[in-house]
Amino acid sequence: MVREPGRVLTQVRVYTGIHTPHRNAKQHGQMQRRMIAWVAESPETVEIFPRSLRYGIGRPPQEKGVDVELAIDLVALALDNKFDIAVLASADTDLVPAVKFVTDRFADKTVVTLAYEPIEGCTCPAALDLPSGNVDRRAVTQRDFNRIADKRNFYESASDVSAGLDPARVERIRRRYDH
Amino acid sequence: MICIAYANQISASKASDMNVPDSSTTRRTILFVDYQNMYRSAREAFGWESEGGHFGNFPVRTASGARWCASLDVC
Repeated sequence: MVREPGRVLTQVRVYTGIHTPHRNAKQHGQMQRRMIAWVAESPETVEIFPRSLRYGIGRPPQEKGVDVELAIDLVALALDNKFDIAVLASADTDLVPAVKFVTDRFADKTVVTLAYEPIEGCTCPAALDLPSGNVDRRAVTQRDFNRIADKRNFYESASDVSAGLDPARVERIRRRYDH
Repeated sequence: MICIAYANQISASKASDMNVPDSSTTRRTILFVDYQNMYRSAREAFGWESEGGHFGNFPVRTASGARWCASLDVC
């Protein structure tokens, strides 16, 4: 797509599952540090929406409700006219109805779907690619990804990732992610 | 209808946290990241399933977030 002038990135909203501290303390800790680091880097812009993973017998932990929460927010923020362009980084086809609602209802809004350009022979999920006129698809190649990759190690509990962030907000984040 | 009513309710509680200007002169862009979905997708798409767990983390960090947005030409 052609980049339009006057675009302003006003918010980054991250939806994710997170291990509970009882079931997987190491993964929980690294994810919590990762999320705090994101917020610390831009407290006015980044908002995190974590949900505890669900554990079953004989299967890997699963996310529950993450896609629904994202879909509701996409629709709600469109209804409230909080964005002109929504960049949606997901290949989850469960989000298609929400994207379709936004683009059908609001002719002045654009949804950009962002997904990875697979290597040859990959059987991975296809990018969201809707026929609607206000949906643009942007493929991220492996070269793109390597250029922007975040290679920090959040397993080191000693690293202080909350420097510069309001301690009250750090505490609020920790409490929120510890339920 | 119920879904829209619920969406309105949710947005009322969340929109207050947001620093999103209401402006007609700029194209306000919000990035929605389905983090685990993008992590799994990257590992599958780029053949990293047998690599270390740090391969495929979506680069949310916002200093670079703004950069990557621009570099990918999406915002």
